[in-house]
Amino acid sequence: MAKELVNLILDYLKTLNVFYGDVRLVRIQEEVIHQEDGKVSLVRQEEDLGIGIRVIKNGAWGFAATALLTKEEAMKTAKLACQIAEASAKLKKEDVKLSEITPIQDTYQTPIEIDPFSVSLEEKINLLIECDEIMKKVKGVKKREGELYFYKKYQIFASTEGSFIEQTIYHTGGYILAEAIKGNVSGSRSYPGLRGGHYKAKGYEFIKELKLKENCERIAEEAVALTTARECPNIETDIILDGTMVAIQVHETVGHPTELDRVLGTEVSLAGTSHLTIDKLNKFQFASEIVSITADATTPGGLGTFGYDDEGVKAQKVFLIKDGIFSGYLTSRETAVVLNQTSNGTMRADSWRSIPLIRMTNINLLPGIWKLEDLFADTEEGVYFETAGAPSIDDKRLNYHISSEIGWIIKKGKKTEMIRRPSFSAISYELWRKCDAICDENYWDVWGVPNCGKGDPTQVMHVGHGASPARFRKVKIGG
Amino acid sequence: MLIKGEVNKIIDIAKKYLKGFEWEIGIDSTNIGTTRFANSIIHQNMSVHRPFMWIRIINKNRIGSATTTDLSEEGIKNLIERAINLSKSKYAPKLETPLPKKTKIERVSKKNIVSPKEREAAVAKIVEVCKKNNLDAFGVIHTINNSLAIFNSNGVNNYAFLNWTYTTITAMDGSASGFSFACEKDFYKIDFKELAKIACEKALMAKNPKDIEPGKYLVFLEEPAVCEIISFLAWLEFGAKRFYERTSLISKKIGKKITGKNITIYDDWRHKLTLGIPFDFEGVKRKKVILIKKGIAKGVVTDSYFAKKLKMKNTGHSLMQPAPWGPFPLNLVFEKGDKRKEEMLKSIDKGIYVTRFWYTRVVDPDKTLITGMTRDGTYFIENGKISYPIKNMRFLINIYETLENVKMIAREQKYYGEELFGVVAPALVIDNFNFQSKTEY
Repeated sequence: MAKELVNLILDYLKTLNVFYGDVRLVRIQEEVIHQEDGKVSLVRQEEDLGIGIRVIKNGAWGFAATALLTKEEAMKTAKLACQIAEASAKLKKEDVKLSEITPIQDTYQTPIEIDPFSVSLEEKINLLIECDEIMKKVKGVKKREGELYFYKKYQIFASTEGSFIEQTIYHTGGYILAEAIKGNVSGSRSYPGLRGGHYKAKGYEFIKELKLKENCERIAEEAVALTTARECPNIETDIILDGTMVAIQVHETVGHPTELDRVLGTEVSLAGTSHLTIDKLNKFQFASEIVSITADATTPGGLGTFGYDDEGVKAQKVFLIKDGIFSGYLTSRETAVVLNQTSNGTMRADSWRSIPLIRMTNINLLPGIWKLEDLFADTEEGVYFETAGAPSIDDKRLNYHISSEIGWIIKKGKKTEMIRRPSFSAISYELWRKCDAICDENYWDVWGVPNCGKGDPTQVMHVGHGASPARFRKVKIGG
Repeated sequence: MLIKGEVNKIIDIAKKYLKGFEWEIGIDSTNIGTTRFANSIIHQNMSVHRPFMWIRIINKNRIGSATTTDLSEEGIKNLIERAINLSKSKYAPKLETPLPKKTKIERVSKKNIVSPKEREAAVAKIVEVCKKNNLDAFGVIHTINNSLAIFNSNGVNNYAFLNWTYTTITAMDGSASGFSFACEKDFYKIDFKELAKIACEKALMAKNPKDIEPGKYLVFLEEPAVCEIISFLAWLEFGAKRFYERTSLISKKIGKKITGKNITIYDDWRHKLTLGIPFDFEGVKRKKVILIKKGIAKGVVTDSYFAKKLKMKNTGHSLMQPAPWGPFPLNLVFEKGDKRKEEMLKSIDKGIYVTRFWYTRVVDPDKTLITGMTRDGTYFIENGKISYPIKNMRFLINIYETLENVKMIAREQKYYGEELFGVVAPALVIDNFNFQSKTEY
């Protein structure tokens, strides 16, 4: 029935004389289980179903979407998309052009071992309760939390050019958290730790891989210890960032500024622009020579992994930073024309009701050669940042600030004293130029960010970041 | 959006499958028209109809909850079946407080549907003003028609319908940018040309910014900057959850001084600038809640769960239940002062003028320490006038300490926020405002 409806809309769009049209029928199912202090406070199953229709008519874009999946409503929505395009056309400077694409008919599914929606609620909740009981035993812990999250998206993408693609994507993840309070000072520790959780394009097997129970006692003890730990000193020193910190840095300082729509100004109204302007492409020394960063929509397990993007462009891998030089953008069919290229397949919408935008896929810092223990041993003085907190960056992606949940003073090659919520700020490319060591593939993981905001209205996208710990020399830390 | 009659039909369908259960149903239905423009053309233009229905079923005191956008009979039946299945688990959350008692509240605004053509015409006015100033226009116009209905098996039968337009304009020439905005219930009351003029004036004043050193400065914060700070204070301090856990500072300061004497903050859906929905997501009537009065900490907002835990009154500030994050004030008002903005500016010998902030985040919740960047119009003030543009800077402030240092409060307030959450606030002059670092533009 869904396929018939999509084909009906495409046929109807052709009668409305569109230059181009595409239809996405999307069904998203989510399950969230949240426990606090041993009580299950939330078990919710969410379902989001609808159709989004995008057209180019009179040389301009129009988009309309509806949750009512009847033939009558679908035709009405298609017509509305055309009327909107006609209104847009009144203010165009030139007709929208799209880079070439070969129409494709295909299917894609995330490889999973265990369908997370087939696992009983009891099994999922038992895991969270067992985690809670371990954390509860640690003296001084005031608050415990745990959450599991499961996501399944079924989508049909079809275009008037002849593409017809079905995809089923699964994402799975979760976190545990312990908090302690002493007087007016709190200590908060989470695991696996990228602003709380870790998420992958995998099935329930990923929850088992996370080893949540095995880490409960450690994070609870660290939360208590943080309440008496000293604050971050205000100094210039060497810093070693764990994988989660590097992942967020890649996200904020490489992923967003290489989105070509931002560079061309179409996100000014909210997200801003980018300092990585087109004149800097293949010339600008963005980072030290050991730094190479790719956009790779084929990385196994990445939240930015798929078969095709929301314009029907096949998933691919491209360099954004190669040997330290800024060397590429994330593109769409429309923006790639500006560079005389074809799209590298990064257009995604967070639901049927959203317009596809250029979004990060898996933005990966390629692994280096170091063992983490060797990196500590090689650092005379410094601070180790562990478990990323909330970042902040200006609207051109230059002045970057971030804190972590916990830090450790490094002295003579060893982790010594614990510090609370250490932070640093730096100009993004200057920071990357100070990178002199990256850990090898044994420390590398593709971290999932399930809450990347962009667009207006804001769309929340799932993206991935491959990263391993890395060292940056002489960075100003503290407030 | 759904009119009341359509909502009633959906509830009647649901009731067929709900016999023998206690239940709560919410239906939030939105028609949103969005026109985004950049480089003086429309590049994204859309219209979306999104109904959203959620249900809480209470089955032998255990809760099952589910949501859907499929409001067909089959979709509603499926929604209810999913919620019932979840409620059967021995681990399902327990109902800690009974569902609210019978209420019937309605607030219906006159329907105000804005067409794509009308949005395009408004953008054309903006572009025309920007072109006259040799600037490009960027921004967005959202027109929203939203209905919210909350029903339950005890007889809660509440419905609100509202219209809302939110627009931002950024005028730009290279890196020099200026910003203006409007949040209005009536699209036709917005003077888009006037708004564009403000953005253009700011952009023209922002050319060739100078570098100044970070440090503590006297600042003039326009309303969007104040709203941003207060919205973060709300997340950290004004909800009952962190109060109950005693992790918020306000939880240890009720009845004591917490800010300067000139600060009063409250939540009131009746304020003419707020969205004005009179009931919360459990269907409880919203009450006005004084949070800080003349610098003294007075209270926080509650929902039924935290009201019981804290032995306080339910103030009607529940979010969609179950809500692990607790209640939240959605109609925050920072009390106005008595100064005209021109007077405030004139009184400043040396200081920094901030149009708005960007990417604000919490650094340390224990201290209400937040950081963010200035954006779209930051200037140096000398001798009571904007003297020259300066490069953007990062602030790092303790919110409560900052509210100790408020020197002047404007008598005009504005509502600023994206989509359905914002704050009503006046412009402020604040001393010792800490800028931690700078950027390159």
